[in-house]
Amino acid sequence: MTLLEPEEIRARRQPFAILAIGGVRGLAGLCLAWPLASLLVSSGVGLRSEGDRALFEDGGYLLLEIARLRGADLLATTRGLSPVLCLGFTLNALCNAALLVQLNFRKRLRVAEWLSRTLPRVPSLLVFGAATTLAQLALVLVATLTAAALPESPSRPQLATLLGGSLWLVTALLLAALGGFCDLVKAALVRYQSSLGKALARAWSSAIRRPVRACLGWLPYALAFLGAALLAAQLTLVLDVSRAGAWRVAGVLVVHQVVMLLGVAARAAWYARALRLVALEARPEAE
Amino acid sequence: MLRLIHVLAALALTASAPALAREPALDRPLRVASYTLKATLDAAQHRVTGQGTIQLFNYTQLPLNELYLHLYMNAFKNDRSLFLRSPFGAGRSGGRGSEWGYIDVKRLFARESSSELWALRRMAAVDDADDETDVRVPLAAPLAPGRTLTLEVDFEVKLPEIVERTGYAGDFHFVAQWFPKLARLMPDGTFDHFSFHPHAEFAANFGTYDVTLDVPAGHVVGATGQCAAEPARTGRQMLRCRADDVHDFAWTSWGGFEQQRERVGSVEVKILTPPGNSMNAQVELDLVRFGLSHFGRRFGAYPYPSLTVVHPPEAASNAGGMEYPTLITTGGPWYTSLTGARAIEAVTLHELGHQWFYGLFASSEPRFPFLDEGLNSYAEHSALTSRYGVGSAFSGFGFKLANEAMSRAIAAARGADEPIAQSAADFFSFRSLGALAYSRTATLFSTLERVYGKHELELALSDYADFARFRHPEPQHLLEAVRGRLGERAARNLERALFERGNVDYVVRDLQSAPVDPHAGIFDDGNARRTLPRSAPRPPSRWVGRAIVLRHGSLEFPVQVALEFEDGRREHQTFSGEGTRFTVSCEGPARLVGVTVDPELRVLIDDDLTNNAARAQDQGAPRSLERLLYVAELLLGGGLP
Repeated sequence: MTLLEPEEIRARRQPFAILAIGGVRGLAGLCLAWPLASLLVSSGVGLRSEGDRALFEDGGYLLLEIARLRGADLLATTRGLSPVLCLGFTLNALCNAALLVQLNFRKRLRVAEWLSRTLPRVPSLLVFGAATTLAQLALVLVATLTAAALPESPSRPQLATLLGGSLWLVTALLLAALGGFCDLVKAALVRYQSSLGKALARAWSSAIRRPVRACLGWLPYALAFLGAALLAAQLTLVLDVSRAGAWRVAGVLVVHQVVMLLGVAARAAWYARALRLVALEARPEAE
Repeated sequence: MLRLIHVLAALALTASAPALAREPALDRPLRVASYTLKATLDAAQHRVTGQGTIQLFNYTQLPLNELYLHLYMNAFKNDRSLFLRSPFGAGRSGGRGSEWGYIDVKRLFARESSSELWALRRMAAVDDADDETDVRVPLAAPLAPGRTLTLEVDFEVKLPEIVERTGYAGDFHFVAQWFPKLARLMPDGTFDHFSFHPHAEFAANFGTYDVTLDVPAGHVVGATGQCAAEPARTGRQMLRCRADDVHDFAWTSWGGFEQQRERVGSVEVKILTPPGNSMNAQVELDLVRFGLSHFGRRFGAYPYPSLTVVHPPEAASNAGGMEYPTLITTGGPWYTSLTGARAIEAVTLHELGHQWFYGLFASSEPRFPFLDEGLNSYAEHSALTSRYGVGSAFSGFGFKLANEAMSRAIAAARGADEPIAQSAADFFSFRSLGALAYSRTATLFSTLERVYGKHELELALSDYADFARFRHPEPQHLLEAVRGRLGERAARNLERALFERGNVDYVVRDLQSAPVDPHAGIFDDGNARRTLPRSAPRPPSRWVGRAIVLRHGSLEFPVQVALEFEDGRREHQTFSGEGTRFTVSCEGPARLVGVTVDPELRVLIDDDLTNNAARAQDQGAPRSLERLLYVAELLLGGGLP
């Protein structure tokens, strides 16, 4: 099977993969949401004439009452859903891996083909994933210690807040940059079926040559997704499910699912870009 | 003449409940305890040296052989004080401070009898020798009715690091509960004295405070009353502050304050904030403008010429959220207003409300905290709702949260665990006091407002305010005011809720609906027997429906019951609240599908709002499912790279 040329690697070539991943994520989300919603149903809120609209009404009387009376149950159920959440994360990771592999090919891969390309790389992916997570945790620890050491300034409280905020913003960017670099390594691993060392070298070389694109290339996609999510929030306000009408709920459902699909598409677009970067790096004539 | 004055004064101060409506409002209180003090702040050592005179007017009909002094600052002297000894945390803030604070009285001299009294003192609590906050001082000569005793006093205060509103943080100083303070002289000749309890605040007689403050030059001072500069030595500044008809004096001194002044009506308002808090200062000034007018219309005009709002710096946040006569403290980070939370607004209105429910009325907070904290919380919520509508606690991200809803949730979490009307010290914990004396009282009054009418409750509280001003009211005066405007039943509900752990929970059960079929069977009519056949099955043309509304608990509020029919028709019935159950029954062209008691949430004090409805078929929670699904999907999408 022939790998696509770097210029040909595009997320838009894979609409079915994006839809499939969206569907899987939706199902996993439903597995998490259903038990919690059932608990709310059993709270008696559905017995009121306004149904669970009451939970969205201004004032928050019923919302706080449910939190007070069923908060412990909701927390216990949420804790109980931890294994489902872990499974969901695993499923999501598998979907992402599938996407990363599929983006290299024009033809849709069969499961056997996909497994044959992915399974040998699983140990490397796990080791590298764990190392990245540890590095990110270390970064958070350093940021926490630094934040605690920041001097308080009674005479300039805004400056103190700005300093603290900037510190966490920079930390978030570094965390994400590390995540971006991690994606490059994964892209190199699955595209060239190489060892972890070679993939790291390829990603590193790419990061050195194009540091901003390699580590922060995800930013435009993330911003696009953020914009979509904010727009959806505004649309949700307009649709206002605290008022009667099943169409309002349906409308919000559609808006939210579109956002979710856009999220998958944004990730696919970034993966395609990461693959292009490592593919260009592999070319002898690469700039 | 003196005799006549003190008899009239005693009558005014002991007014019994039925006299509420007949008592004319007082323009000014009887000045019983007055202080002329000079206080010098050593900002480096965090010490205050004080001297001056204390005057006690015996307005009772009995001679006084002793007096009681509160030395509140000794609460922070060691870990054996009543305030600090609990291993479960001290005071409202739960903080202990990292440096001790105390007051040393050097001299207490009775001028009229030329006798030194301090050597004769005893700790008031004979069974609690460890606590030094309540001192009994025998008098060398009895103080006759109608006479005034003048005490010359010297004392020194070491301020603790900010704990429970008083102390220092860096070079910021907030000086409260700082001088030897006479316990409140009661009309029967006894003193309302108590050790400083971590749950409790203060009570005192009205009087005049004339306090000269000697502080470092460059410091900005905020204090009770009106202050004017006096000549001072180099490197120092001197301010003489005078407040008439108040019952406490607090002050702050800090070089970092920025100040804003504005005349609001006849009141000179001063806002002191740390640098960078101009946004908070604007909010506070705005709320003071609103609050003086709002509370003034309801509870009588604010009578003092000045009001100072102190916003302590973040490092001294424990000094925030407190009330003193003509001086209140707020608090919060500089960006609070940007978050959508109305925290600054709430604390400003709450503490401003205390100028009435504490300052002017001067009920005993230690004995009945609900009379000031509870009523004031209701007044605060009511004012916030007037100002901001349903988003009175939070408004942002398309969601609005009402202060009343938060208060109700806090109150309901503790239910009727303890009586509301009990002393601060009797509450199991401060959290319990907060939930019951603050939140449950406020929720109770919100319920009265929603059930019996906002205007009627405003009239009742206005009656209470007219009576209470300068009179140290008791709970029965509040009950009398409510009885007078809202009726006997409302007063009975209030009394049960306050004193008897009264509660209420409305529940709907057993909703049923059935078709009305034509009669069928064998019927004897005299000698004739008729057999009516069952009619052939067909869609019923009429339905009967029923449900039971139960009232658990001892509070009897009338409620609406909403009936919902299959054809979309709605109907209302009224349950008077008397008796423990009400049978909903109806007959009509459509099936009864739902019954909701109190659909407009008037009875906010209802223990459980989730059992207020019954339905033929649960409608599920589609909106909640949709929102939870979206959150779960976002979590899954963002959870892993």
